[in-house]
Amino acid sequence: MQISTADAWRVLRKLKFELSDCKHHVRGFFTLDGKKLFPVHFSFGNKDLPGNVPEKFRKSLYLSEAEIRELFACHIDRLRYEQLLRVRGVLPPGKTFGSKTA
Amino acid sequence: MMDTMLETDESTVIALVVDDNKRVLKAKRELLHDQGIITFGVTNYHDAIREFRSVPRVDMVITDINLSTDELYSGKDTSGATLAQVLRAISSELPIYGYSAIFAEGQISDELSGAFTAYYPEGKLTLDQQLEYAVAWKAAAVQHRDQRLERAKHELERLKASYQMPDPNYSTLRDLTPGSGPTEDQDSIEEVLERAGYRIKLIEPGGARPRIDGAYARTRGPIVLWIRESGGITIAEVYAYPELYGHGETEERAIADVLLLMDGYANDLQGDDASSLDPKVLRLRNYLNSVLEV
Repeated sequence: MQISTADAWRVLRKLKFELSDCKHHVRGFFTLDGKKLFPVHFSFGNKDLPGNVPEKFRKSLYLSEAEIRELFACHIDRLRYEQLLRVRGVLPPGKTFGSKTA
Repeated sequence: MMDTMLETDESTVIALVVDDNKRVLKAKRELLHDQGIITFGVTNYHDAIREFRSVPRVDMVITDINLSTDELYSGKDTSGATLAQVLRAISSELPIYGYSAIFAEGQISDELSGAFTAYYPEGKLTLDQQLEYAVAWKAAAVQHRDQRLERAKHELERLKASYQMPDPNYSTLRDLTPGSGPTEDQDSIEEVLERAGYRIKLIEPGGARPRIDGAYARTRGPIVLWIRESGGITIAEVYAYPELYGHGETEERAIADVLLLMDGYANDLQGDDASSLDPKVLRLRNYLNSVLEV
């Protein structure tokens, strides 16, 4: 699937990633309870992320193809995303709702 | 500068030559060129530092001891002896030779001369002396180069070994490597990546790298990269950290992209308390600190 840099930027903000950017990259960390858990990034320079970079971007978010489509269609918010990460074992089991974010 | 970043032909010897007299500089470079040495020539202290940091690999430095003071930096000692001290602090084994074209003007204290591998304050050298010295300089540079390459190869082997054990995260790597397909658990990471069309590339310790602030720095390295063409672009990934990847239309640009990313992450994580980082991110920071000069 094609992912534009604008869309990538939008979903990372929506998922409340802690982001920093410079001329070349947008870098971010998924943060929970003030703890940086995993990194994600994409590069500027193309309207759409090139080659297999969209695939890498998707996998760095720990999402399936169907889920990332849902994400871009605005059907996945931060809370739902946390649930998905718990299912995948990226986040430890714990309270599902109302967890404290960054 | 990036175009030459990884042009590391192991058979070449690279020398940085510093002299504020352009005629002498040209003569020195020709002398070394006749010995089969590739040279970069500069005429002052500041250009020498900048060039040393941006040339991919310098096997030796030959400098005039009495470099003229740059007016822009008046008040700061920009002699060849100071240059030698600065470079010596960066590399304890780099062959650095100093000379003075004028007899006795090159006399310096023992403390300052200690930074040089050898120095020649006796004034103008005869052609025979210069040839004799050039041969000796080249021999020292070749030895220095070979030692560095040997260390880099050992470090590469060590990295490969450490990645194979005790607990490589095969599933993550496969997940993040499109096209690798289903594989047996006992396959090595190298086999998986080679099957997926990747090839390995090494940036030696001391190689030049871009920084996000626009400057260049040298790697503490070595940095192992996996390179792969994908849909008309090149992807460069950092060995052991499949999350770190860059892309560009050429291999050099892809490598520069991933190095910039690494520098950015190193900056992002530099001030963080270890307790605020997941072990995975902490490991990433430790890795970046071990290969980059932060």
